[in-house]
Amino acid sequence: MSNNRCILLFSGGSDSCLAALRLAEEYEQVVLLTMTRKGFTKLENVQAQVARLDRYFGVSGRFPLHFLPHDRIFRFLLYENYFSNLRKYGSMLLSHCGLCKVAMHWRGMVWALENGITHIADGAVRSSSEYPAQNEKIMLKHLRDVYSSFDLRYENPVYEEPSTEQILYDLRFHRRLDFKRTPDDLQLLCDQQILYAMFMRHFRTRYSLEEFEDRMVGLYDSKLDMVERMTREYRERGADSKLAPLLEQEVTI
Amino acid sequence: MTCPVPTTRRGFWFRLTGTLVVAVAIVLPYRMRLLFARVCTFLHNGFGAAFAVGAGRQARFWNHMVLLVVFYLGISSAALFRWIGKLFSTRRKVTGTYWIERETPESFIEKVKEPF
Repeated sequence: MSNNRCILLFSGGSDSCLAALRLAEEYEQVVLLTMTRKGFTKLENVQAQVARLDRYFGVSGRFPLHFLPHDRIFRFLLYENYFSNLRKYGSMLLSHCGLCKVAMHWRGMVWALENGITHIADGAVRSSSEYPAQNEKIMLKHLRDVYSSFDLRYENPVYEEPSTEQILYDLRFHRRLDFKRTPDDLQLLCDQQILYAMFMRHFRTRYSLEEFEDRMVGLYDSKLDMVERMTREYRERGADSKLAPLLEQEVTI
Repeated sequence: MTCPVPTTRRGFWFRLTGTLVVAVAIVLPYRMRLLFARVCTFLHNGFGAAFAVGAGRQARFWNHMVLLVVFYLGISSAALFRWIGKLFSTRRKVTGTYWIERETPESFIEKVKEPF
């Protein structure tokens, strides 16, 4: 085990927990970043999962947890150049879950750069590829490029796992096997997930998965290009950049 | 999040509700959109798990209250109800037993000409 640290975007769900276990094999310290914004609830679930991770390893402090607000950044991503984007991408602007994940990665990337941590990971899995942030074509490939442009390494340690629940059960991390969507599933909740579900009802009933990916990729390419451009500007110009006030205005929810 | 084929009734319903929600949400500013999402979630779930959890919590609270009065304070529920009953009592009902004179069996037999 090398003496180094990495960042994990952590929601407390089964995918995040398995990712934390995998990263703990490789890194001495896994810094858990949980993003918060208006509409996110059950933050205490995340703390409970961190306590469970500590108990599992029998040491505390291996998984330091930080809550980072990303409300302003998310709002900016949703509404910047709104009418022009609306004309171009239509209802795709309502893919809240994907844009929220872009905001999380953006916030995490800035935090990683400020704290000198070069490895960053999340619990993306292929089986959830209808979410843009977990789809290789729509977002993951481009996201890796954005991270690498800042000399950061982005990885998905559990991407190919078919059932993270089964592995957690086999590892004796979880006592129950089918705990997803039950009260035992201790993870952050978002009360706006309905908007993405409704967007999918509206959008996915028209197109196949391939067409859906082809259409979504344009929006996410443009957003990620903007993220890269603005982060670069932030690193060069600091407080005078466009991103700085957004970060300053972030308040802890 | 697999969506059904739109030609089925379920698929039609999916597309209709999806389109309605999208049409409203897309014109709303940030806070209003979050509020709208909350309303949609409520309409979608109805009296779901969250409601059941709330109801269970209330039931437990009142259960604790009763246990507190009966066992911890040592007031039996019978004594409590009697006391509450007294507090709200109306005028006492006046009842009595009345003796009604009836003829004795002997006098009855006297009237019969040939009893045996």
